[in-house]
Order: sequence, then C-alpha cells, then structure tokens
Amino acid sequence: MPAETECDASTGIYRCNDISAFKFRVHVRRTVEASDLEQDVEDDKQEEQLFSWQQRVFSPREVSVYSDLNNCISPLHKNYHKQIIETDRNTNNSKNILFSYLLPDILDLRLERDILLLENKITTNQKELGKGNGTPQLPQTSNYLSSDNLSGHSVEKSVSRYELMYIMADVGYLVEGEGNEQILVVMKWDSLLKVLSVFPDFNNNTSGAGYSLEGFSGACNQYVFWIVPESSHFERKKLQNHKLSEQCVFSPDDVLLPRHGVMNVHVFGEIRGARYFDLENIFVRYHLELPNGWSCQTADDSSGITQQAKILDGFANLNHLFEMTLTYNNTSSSDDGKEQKPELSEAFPKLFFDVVGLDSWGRVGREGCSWARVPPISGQHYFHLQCWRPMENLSMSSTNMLKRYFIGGTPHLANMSFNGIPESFQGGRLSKFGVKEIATGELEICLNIILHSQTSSHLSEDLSQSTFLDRFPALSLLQSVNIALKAFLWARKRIQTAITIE
Amino acid sequence: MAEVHIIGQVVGASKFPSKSLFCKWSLHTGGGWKLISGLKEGQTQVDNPVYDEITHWSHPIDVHYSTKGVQGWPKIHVQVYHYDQFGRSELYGYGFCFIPTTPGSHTIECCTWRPVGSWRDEFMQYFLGGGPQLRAPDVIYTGNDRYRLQTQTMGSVHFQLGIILRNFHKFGIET
Repeated sequence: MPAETECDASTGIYRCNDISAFKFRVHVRRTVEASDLEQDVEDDKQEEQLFSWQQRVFSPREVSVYSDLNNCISPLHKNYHKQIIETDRNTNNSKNILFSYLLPDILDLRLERDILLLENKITTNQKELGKGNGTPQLPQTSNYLSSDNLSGHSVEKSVSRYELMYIMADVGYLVEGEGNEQILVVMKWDSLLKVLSVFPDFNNNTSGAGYSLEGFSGACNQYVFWIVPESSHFERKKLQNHKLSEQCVFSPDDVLLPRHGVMNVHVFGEIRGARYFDLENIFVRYHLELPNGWSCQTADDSSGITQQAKILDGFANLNHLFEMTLTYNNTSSSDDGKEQKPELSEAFPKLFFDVVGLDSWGRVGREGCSWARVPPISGQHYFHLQCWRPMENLSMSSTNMLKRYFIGGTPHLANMSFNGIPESFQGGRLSKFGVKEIATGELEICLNIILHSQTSSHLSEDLSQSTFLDRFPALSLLQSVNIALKAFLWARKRIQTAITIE
Repeated sequence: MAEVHIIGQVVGASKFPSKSLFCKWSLHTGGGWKLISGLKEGQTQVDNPVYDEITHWSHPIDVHYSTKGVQGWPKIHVQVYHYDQFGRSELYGYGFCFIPTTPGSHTIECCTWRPVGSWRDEFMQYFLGGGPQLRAPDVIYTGNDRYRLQTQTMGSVHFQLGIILRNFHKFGIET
C-alpha cells in the first residue's frame, strides 16, 4: 500500500457525470535494485491491466478457491464460481498480480473476519471443555445467515450512495504460495455529487515517478505502480479541468437546513452612523420586536448598544455590526390563526432605534427614535431613518430651550412601540394627533437579508416568477401534504409486510 | 455545499485627516466556513497622493470560501494607519463591514472610527503623535461590549467587490 505519509500520494477528486464508461490502467513493475536477490522464474516482472469501472478481476488465490464449488458458501461466491468457470474457458490467465474488490467483497471481508473471530472463540471454548476434536467448526448456519443479512443490510444502507472499487495486488501468492494482499488504489464514486475520489491520485503516464509498494513480507521484492486513466474514455485534459480541491467537496448532509415549514431570515446589519444631531457625543440603542410566530435563535443578539461616537463634521461613524437569525414558524401561526392574519410580508419583525446623546457633563438624554421593518426581500438594503423626539409643548419657547440647556434631558416616550405602530393599536386608522415632536437627525443603517427555507429548494423552478414570500406559505402547505402522504405509504407498507408474515 | 467567491480590491480611503495612509485588512467568518483558496488577510502599501484627495491602494482581494450555513457571513475588517514623514505609524481607524449577500459587483464604503482617550491623551497626541489603540481587538469583532468605548469619527475605506455565489439556491437560500 502506498504509504500515506508519502508526500506525493494525495487523494484526487474529480467531477465526472458518467462513470460507467470510465476505464483506467494500472501498471506494476518490479524495481531493478532488488533484482540481485530474486529467486524467481521470471526476470523482469511487470504487469499492466485495464480495469473498467466496477469490473471484478479475480486474484489467482480466488480463482483456485472459487473454481471448486465446495468452497462457495454464499450466493455471492457461487456467482463468482460461475464467472470464473466462464473466463477460464476463454482465457487462461491466472497469474496476474492485480485484481479488484468491489463493495460486496469488502463487506464480505469484514464478515469473514467476524466469523474467524467467532470461530476462534468457539474452538477455544471447546478446548476448555475438553471436547474439541481439532477441526474448527463454522458457527451455526442460522446464526451466520442472520449476521450476514444484518451486517450486509446495515452497511449497504449506509453506503448505498457510494460505489467502491479497490485495486489490489497479491504478489506473495505466486512467489511464496501464501496470500499477501495489499491495497493499491481506493476509488470511491459518489453518485449524488457525481464526484470520483481516487487515492492515490492518477499519474500522468507510466514513464514518470510512480508509487512505491511497500510492506510485503518478501522484503527483497520492491514494486512500483502507476495508475493512468484510459485516454480514449476519459480525456486527461477534461479530467484536469474538473479536478476539485478536496475541501470543496462536502456532502449535502452537512448543509444546515431549517426544519420543514420554517423560514429563517438572516439579518446582517450595520449601524453606519448618525448625522445632524445636536450633541457632541451620541450612541444608539437598538432592539428587535418580534410579531406572532417569530422567534430569534440567539436572544442576546436581539438588542444592543453601540459605542459612544464623537460627531465630526456633522457625522458620527458608529460602524456597529449585528447579526440576527430570525425564525418564522408557519405551522404554529396557522393553528391559532382564528383572526385574520396579516400578510406575511407585513408581519416581519421591526427594529427600533433609540439615539441617545451624551454631553460633556455626562448627562444622558434621548435625542431621537426611529424604526425600520426588516425587509421581506433578500439583498442589501440601505435606510436613512429620520429621527424625532417628543416635546412638552409645540412652541420653541425660550423656557424649553433653557431647561434643556441647563438641566439636560428631554421628555421621552414611555413605550417605545409608539414610535412605530403601537402594540395596543386596533382598528383601521392610526392617529397620532396631539403628539408634539421635533425632528432631530438622521440614522444611516444597512441591512443584508438572506431568506432560507426548505420549500424553495425543491419546487422553485416552475415558480421562479413569483417572489419567495408569495410561494412560501403555499409550498409549506404542499410539503406538509407530501409528508403526510409519505407517512401513510410507509404505514401501509408496514401493514402489508405484517400481513404477509402472518 | 454552498460556495462564495469574493473578488475585488481595496480601492482606497478618503476623508481622513491626512493622506499618507496604509491599511491592514482581514476577512472574518463564522464556524461553518472554510477557506478553500486565496489570502484572507493582507496589508497595503503606503500611499501618499499628491494631487488627489483620495488615497489609492488598489490592493487585490480574491478569496474562495465554502460554507455549510449562512450564519457567520464573511466580514471584512480594516485597520487604517497613518505613516508620517518621520517614519512613525499611528492608528487612524478601525472599520468593519459585511460582505454583501447578493451576487454582483458592489462598491462598499466602510466607515471607520478611532478610540479617544482622556484630555491628557489628546494633548499628548496633538504634540507627539500616536494615540490610543484597543488593547483587545475582540471589541471590534463582537460589537457587544463597545458600550463604554468613546470613539471619534474618521474617514472611510472604499472597496470594490464582486461576489459570486454558488449552490445557495440549491439549499433553499434566497440571496
């Protein structure tokens, strides 16, 4: 096996859409340095074999084992027996070093190892009891079969997405008469991502440096091998273009999807700055107000305070970033939606901003407030929010000004939600008549919005004309119907199997 | 797996008290992000414009990220320094802004600020140069504990960034 510490042996990852026509050559040659010690029949031993994808090539050991039908226990082995008999008639080439293992063989090997362990256990037990007659016995057939089914099933289920192919070499069998199998190449094809990974990576040609094969019991035999994709089927150039870096390939299971019927709204916001405010130092407090059906994943992020910024040329840079992940649960809100539900885009959370001034004496006073609704459209949004503060009376009387100048502080709203649409408001017409206020300044914020839901990922092609929000409720409904259908089919299948067993 | 390419440049800076400036920049991401290729931080040369009011750096940015989630979207962090005629460099501003979440070409203006010290610090700064710096730069990244920080408005840094997103739509992410 190529040593994994070897620097030039790396996993190659290729994107290819059709694997069935894929062929590659593996070339093995014994290096010359070791030739003075050799006691073999042939002098310069080398072998080249053309493999096509998922082609099973048998080793000499397997040929000799499986050609006898008595050795074949499982249906897989019997199948191999058939294949070997057929190929034997055509060609008599049973001295190859190279052969291949496929997924069932790898599963089988694991099984074999398990059985061997079991066997050892049994024989030792027998010896202890004094009843052992020396011949190891296979464990009970029923036991074995059940374990076969079990392990085969479970492993297959977990790796059904993948096709595996091991290119093996067995030099020891021909030279020393005993098997010494080594893995040369491990190939894995991911049918979902259409990605082939090869360890070690393909060589350019067989004349360059190859991978050395180490770890054979006969240390005098040094082998070098190359693996080259067959040019006629798999153009080298094309392959190079499609080579991916290893980190780039993630399985889609890794992607964090929101639950079904749930929409995540990611808000990446920035409070950029404030302008036109009277006082020298200002800072901004902000908080988020969530309507029914909404929640914030990280509660800490839903409010915050910026640093105190000094105004220069009428502008104060705040440059405060915040990140929020808001979750809208469609199913929960539809359950208690007896009253008329507002449009989803209308019921987005609101951000309230409160600009606070700080004068040179350390007196704090609210300088203005404003609000912005989280936009229901993904993308980058800039807001220039006009701020205002309430006044005691409308006249710009000198007493007011003097009071503010000397005592500091200003009247402020008891309930911040009055700033936008008050919480207690019901009815058709909102009137704020009678509230006296004065415009103070402007707040500049920027919100980056990303909408994320499961529904848009599957069925969006035909509905690309409509906006995300238009189709979100309909699609989540459709999906819940689909889920119910699936559950029903599954239950029916269970019932049917139960009936047949009875 | 969704991928993000950020290709562009740090164009320059404007509105700073003096023009001989250089800038350190770095990209910050959340946990689920992986840098595939490219450099995620750098430092520009010192540019001292003679005719123009804008300091130009034209420092390239070319980064390729892959991610398994939207959380922790890349942010770009800048530190602008002034390099004076005596070879001293003093801090002129910290800035932080999000990389736009929509694909396409974007012009970004990143506002910067500088911490302000006491009267004594400012007096010393006036005559000797230098100035207070943040001891723990975490304050810039988190933004939660900035409450007690007193800052002063500085100029802005300009970016020209092209954003390419891949596979986001496949996972139901509307960008």
